[in-house]
Amino acid sequence: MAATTLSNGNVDAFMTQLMAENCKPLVEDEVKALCDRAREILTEESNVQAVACPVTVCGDIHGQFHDLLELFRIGGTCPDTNYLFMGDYVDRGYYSVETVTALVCLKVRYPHRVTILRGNHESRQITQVYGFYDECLRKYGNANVWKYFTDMFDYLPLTALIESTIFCLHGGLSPSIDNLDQIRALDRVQEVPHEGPMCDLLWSDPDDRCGWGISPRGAGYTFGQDISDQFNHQNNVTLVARAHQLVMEGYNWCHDRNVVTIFSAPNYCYRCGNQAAIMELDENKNYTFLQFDPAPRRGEDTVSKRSPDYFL
Amino acid sequence: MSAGEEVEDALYPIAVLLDELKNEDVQLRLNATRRLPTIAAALGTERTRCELIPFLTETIDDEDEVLMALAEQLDKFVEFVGGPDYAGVLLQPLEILSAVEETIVRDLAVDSLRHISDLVATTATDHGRDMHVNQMFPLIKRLAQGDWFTSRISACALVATVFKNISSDREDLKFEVLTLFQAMARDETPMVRRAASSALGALASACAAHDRAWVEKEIVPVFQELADDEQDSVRLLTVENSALFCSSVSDEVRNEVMLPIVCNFVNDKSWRVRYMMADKLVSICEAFGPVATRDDFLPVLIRLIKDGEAEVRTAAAFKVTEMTRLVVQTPSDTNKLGGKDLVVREVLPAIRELVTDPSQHARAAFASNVMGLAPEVGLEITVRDVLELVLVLLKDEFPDVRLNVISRLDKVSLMMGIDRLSSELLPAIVELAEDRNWRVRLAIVEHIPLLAKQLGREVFQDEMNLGDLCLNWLGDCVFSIREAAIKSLKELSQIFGDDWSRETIVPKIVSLFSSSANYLYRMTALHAVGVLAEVLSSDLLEKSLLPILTDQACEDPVPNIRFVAAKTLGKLAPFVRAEARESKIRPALKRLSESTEADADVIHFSKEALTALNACAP
Repeated sequence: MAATTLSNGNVDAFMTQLMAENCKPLVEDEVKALCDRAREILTEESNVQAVACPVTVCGDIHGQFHDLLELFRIGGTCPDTNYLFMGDYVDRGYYSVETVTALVCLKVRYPHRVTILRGNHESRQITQVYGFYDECLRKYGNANVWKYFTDMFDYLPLTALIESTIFCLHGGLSPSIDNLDQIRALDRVQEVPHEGPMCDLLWSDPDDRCGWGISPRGAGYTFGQDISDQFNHQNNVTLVARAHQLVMEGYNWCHDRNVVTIFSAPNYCYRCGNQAAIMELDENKNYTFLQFDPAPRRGEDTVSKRSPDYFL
Repeated sequence: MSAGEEVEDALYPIAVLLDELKNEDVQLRLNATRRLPTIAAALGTERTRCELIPFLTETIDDEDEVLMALAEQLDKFVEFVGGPDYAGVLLQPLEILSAVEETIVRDLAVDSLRHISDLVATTATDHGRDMHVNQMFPLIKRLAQGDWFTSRISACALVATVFKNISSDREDLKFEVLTLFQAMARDETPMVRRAASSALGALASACAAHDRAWVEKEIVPVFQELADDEQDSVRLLTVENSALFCSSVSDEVRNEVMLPIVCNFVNDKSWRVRYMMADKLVSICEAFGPVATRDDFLPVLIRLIKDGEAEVRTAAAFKVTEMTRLVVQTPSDTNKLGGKDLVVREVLPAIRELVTDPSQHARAAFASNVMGLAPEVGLEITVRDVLELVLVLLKDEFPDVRLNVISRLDKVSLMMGIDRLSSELLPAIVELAEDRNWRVRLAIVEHIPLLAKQLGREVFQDEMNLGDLCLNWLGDCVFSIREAAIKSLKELSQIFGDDWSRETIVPKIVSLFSSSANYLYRMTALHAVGVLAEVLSSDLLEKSLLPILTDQACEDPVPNIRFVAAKTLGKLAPFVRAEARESKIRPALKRLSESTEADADVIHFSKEALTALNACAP
């Protein structure tokens, strides 16, 4: 199947297959066609992709495919509800392949309704350590699918700007960047670098301390309220919405409401016990946070929580 | 080209596959192994028997993954070696595979051996008899006496099948199989005793079919020993096998020998054994019959409900309904109470404690069972004793408990009269309509049509005002609740008719659209129109709901509303009259699909809707 012949009907069929009860992944050639088409669409998008209200903003998913389906049960289905995802679709959870395939399908089928940004895990290096690479190998028997996806990741936009007032990105601010035009000038089509502005946007975290700090993550920086004050003022934005950090309530304000963290993977890694959240922005830019818990897993309510078997 | 060369050519791909079976690359060996049926089919039955199978046996791989594939393939190989008469040649490679270290490989090999044994025993009488005497029996004997414990585990898993399939005129061999089993049940390796324990039920069944006295004389003592094993993992497997085992002995042995052993599991010091007892209690009761259930196992159930370990209580709580059903069936006689009276005297007081159990999982398990009690004990006892438990559980702090009760509400509500339902259960339900857990709300939304049918319009609408409750869910913050409310409203509309919908639903939908500043709620109004179209009269649709779409939604500033309007118009088309289709729907869709529309999705969905419109009969 050549990329150009991928029809809406094809993508609809892919989505039906993925959303079905047993969520069977696509075959290798279908993934290739899908990624080729996604690349054509993403390459047209800006490093600071303009997004209109209304839109529902979501944070990390991390391969928790059943919780992504729960997210749609809470927020509504696509295309009726518009979505902006702020990266980290893969790694950690057991269903990275299904998760990223579904989101890319949505992007390809409804490019004007869905925006997908790049997270620090949408990278060749990180996915080789945190699970996506191994999952592709396990589910497809080779690394081709991993390669199709990671090659496509290079084209994902780094940030989005909702109605010129809400700046969305995965990680946070960068000492190399004062204004949005500097982001627009970056050459984003490459593996996430180890340092520099592109790396910082995907890796940085807000901090209680003022100024720039060294990030304990080993990439990006921490930035204080003075930095976000300055950034928001200079760029005439009211809010930085970002993901990247586990927050127990699913969302968390900081820097006197300059910055909000949104995290959409409930019970992260199947053990953190956190709630997830999404931020619904209506057409008048009023926001509502919706929190949610993990989707009930089939059969779990009849199974004893303590493992009764050979581990004792 | 000579005939010989042609054959060689045809066999060339096979030669390649055979080479790949020896390749250094595991992936190639694995692929070739999976294609063994192709190789065998090309070689023909004789060469498969004489060349391929010996080759496979000689070169048994060292990669578990390849061995797994081999064990699986050999299962299907009977036809390729010439049918059941020749199946014996498959035993040697499978014997090797049943002794390897990797459990999965062994299990697959044992499955294949059992399958082949059954196939041969049922289809090829003479050969089958010979194969079991000359090959299968020596095979199990070698495995049972193998040096390495893995082969002895496989032997345990084979005893029942081999015993069954050795023909009955070789009683000596059958008996020797039992002797081998007895030795393995006393094996010093716990893993082997575990395997023996697992085999107890199936072996007893097979043995009872031959001679029940053998079970009682030869296997009951083994059961006794394993039930008393020092390892709890061995003991718990005897619990699992109890029901099947006990149906293979005479009433006398069951009641006098087995009953005390099985009842004693409840005293086991390991909670895992008691957990298993709770889990298997229903099938055990069924094996022992109503009298033992009444006199011996009801006290066991009560002990398990009060067990110190939450896991055990949870497992017991899951069995409350089924156990109650069995106790209801027990007889009363001169000095022992049975039936419902026994439920009231013994079961109800015990389960009352589960309502306040400190473990939320035990309470949740009981909540999933409490509703099932109603049909078992009847209306009177339900209202007098069970209802209060339900009301407490509905207020539990743990959402799963509330949800487990609510999602089985129909079992109780159907039994109760309208008066009792509205005075006792409904207030609790209404309170949960705003539960913070959306799945609890969902269960209630979905239950509304059933209540409507039961209560009738007067009580439902005028006294309880449940219709308004349902309409309020259209404004819920969770999408799935809004959609479920629409579905319930559709059913209500079918139950109460067009007039009710006109007075109750339609004004709410009109105002939901015009007063919602958030597009998601305007969209809910549109979804509702699309779903209700199926049941409302075309008159009501055209007059009251169609204008929302054609006059308002199609002009909405948010493109999502415009394309949902288009989709909804497409859905509406078959349910309105031709006049409205041509004068209202078509012009609206045309406007939306024209070039003045900036949004690609709006154009796409309007065109789709126009196609649906054209498909309607003129």
